Amino acid sequence: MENPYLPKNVKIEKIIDETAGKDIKSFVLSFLNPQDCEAFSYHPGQFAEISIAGAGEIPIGIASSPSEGVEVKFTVKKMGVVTKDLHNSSAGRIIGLRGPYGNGFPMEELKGKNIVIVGGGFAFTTLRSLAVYLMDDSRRKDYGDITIICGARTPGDLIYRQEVETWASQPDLKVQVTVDKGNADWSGREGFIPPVVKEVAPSADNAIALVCGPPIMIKLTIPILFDLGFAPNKILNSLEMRMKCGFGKCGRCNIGNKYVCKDGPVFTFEELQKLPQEY
Amino acid sequence: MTKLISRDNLKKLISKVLTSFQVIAPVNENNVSFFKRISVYEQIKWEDNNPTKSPKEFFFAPSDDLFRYQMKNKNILLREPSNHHDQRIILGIRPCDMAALNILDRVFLEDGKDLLYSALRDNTLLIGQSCRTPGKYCFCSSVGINPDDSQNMDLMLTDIEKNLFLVKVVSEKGEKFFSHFSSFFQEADATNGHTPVQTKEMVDYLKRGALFNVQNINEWLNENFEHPIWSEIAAKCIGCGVCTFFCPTCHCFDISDENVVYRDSSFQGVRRRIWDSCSFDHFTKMPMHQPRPTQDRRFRQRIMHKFKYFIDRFQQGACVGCGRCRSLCPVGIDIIEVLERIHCLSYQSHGVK
Repeated sequence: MENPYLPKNVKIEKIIDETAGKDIKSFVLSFLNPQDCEAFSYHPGQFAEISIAGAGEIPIGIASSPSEGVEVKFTVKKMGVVTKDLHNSSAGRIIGLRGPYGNGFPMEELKGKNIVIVGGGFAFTTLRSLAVYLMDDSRRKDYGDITIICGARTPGDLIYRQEVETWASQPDLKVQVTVDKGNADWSGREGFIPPVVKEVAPSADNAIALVCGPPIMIKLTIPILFDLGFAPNKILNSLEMRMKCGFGKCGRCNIGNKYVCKDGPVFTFEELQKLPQEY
Repeated sequence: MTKLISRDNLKKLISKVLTSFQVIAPVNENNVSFFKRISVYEQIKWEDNNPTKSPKEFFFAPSDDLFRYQMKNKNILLREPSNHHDQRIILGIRPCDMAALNILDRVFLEDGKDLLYSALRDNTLLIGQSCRTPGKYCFCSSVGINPDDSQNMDLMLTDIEKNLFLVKVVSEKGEKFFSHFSSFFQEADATNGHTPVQTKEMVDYLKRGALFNVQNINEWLNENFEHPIWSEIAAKCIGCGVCTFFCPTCHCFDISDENVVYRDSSFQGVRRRIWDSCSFDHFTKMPMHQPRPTQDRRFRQRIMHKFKYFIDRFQQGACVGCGRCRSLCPVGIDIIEVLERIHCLSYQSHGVK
């Protein structure tokens, strides 16, 4: 048995600037040891602890899909000590990774359903993992209609912009991208996400909605989904907390009797209604 | 199996095992009682009351090394701490602190083992001690623990005469220890039995029974996440964390790196887990968001964790009634007052049960 706190060595293969402000970057990582790679078996919606010896660790949602291969991608916003250190990296740097942790999205339950993905701003990362997973050639037939509604404050803040634009041209996807405020080279939608959800009005019939974004976006989107007929147990959210260990020991991430790291981070809105408003 | 040991022989036994075991026992230095590794028997201070500090830190230290790292020429070397420890004996652990250890076991050994903790737990023999008199702040009997409870101990000592202990051999580990050192023990009198020494205060304490009903508290907490008492009680809390650091069951921690940087910019350091406390603002604080921004919410979290969340997850409460939080709170917040108040409120809302 091994020390569960010990990170595995990974190499930063590639760093991608995701926003115009350069405060959000994606890091593509590969394990140095093939056994570690094999042991890191994940599905969309899970997270891992990125470790930089000397700076610390941070829990980050996994942005890649296992269908994309062995490299694991994380999209990280520059915020504190660890993320700043990570942002200052160049490709080739060796850092640490441990995980995967958390329940992730309920992939079995999503089978045969119409999927509605609503993501605002930087929180779109694990939803990107999900979208890529669902669209994988070998799996696409297992799911019904896929609707993706995503947005950011400005065109420069849209993460995965090119990728999302290619999705928009795919016939088997319904994609809507919006920005709060456009600029000279933005010809797309302008406006907040909740009204777009209302306008697109995805059917609740045999559907599950997955909503990630800033609290205010979630707060305004949920009633619209209710109006469209989505039951609370058909709406999924992913939560953030100040997690440290990632596997239910350190006691920091509880909301009521649930640990976000183990029981979450994905909860149905029905589950959240039963928890104290402490998230 | 029950045996006897005289105080003299206990001294001889401990002196003997000191050559092959680390022995941790209650001591008193500068008027503070705590558990400490001793080198001679005479360091032990047998007091009526449980030491101010529980032996928690011998299994889950204020700061534990998770691993060391060294950065050289862009390569990271990780070195794990040795999981090999000398065999240890903890002498004089009380039933409440034993129950607390059992609570830590649930967290650190179940559903993903914490190897640091389990290695220390495996190599430690626990010789318990019954309480003959209750401490001023004790309330173990209110949370279902008996002052002579031998559950989960390896061996248990109970005073029966001034210089004689009854020894209960509880576990397999205890049996092994006993058979190795059996010459120090004598047979118990099977016909007469032996009566533990108890003070009048202990008799009264046991007669008084529970000050509140844990079940009622739990049910009330299920329904009263929002209630004016939280801000009323927590109004004087200064968020120092003393209650959590001295609590034998509190186990929340932070993980942090400490570095030594060299001139050639190579560096080495250690990643540690460090006791943390739900009383602190930073405990849940994230860059953009703070789910528990005020002290009353943090206070509520502590009570909820012990009397609701832990019960929901593990079907047992996380308070053992040692009374340390009551005795050490610098502003006099008393968990008994809080629980008695909740107990009364639960009667008001549900009628007499």
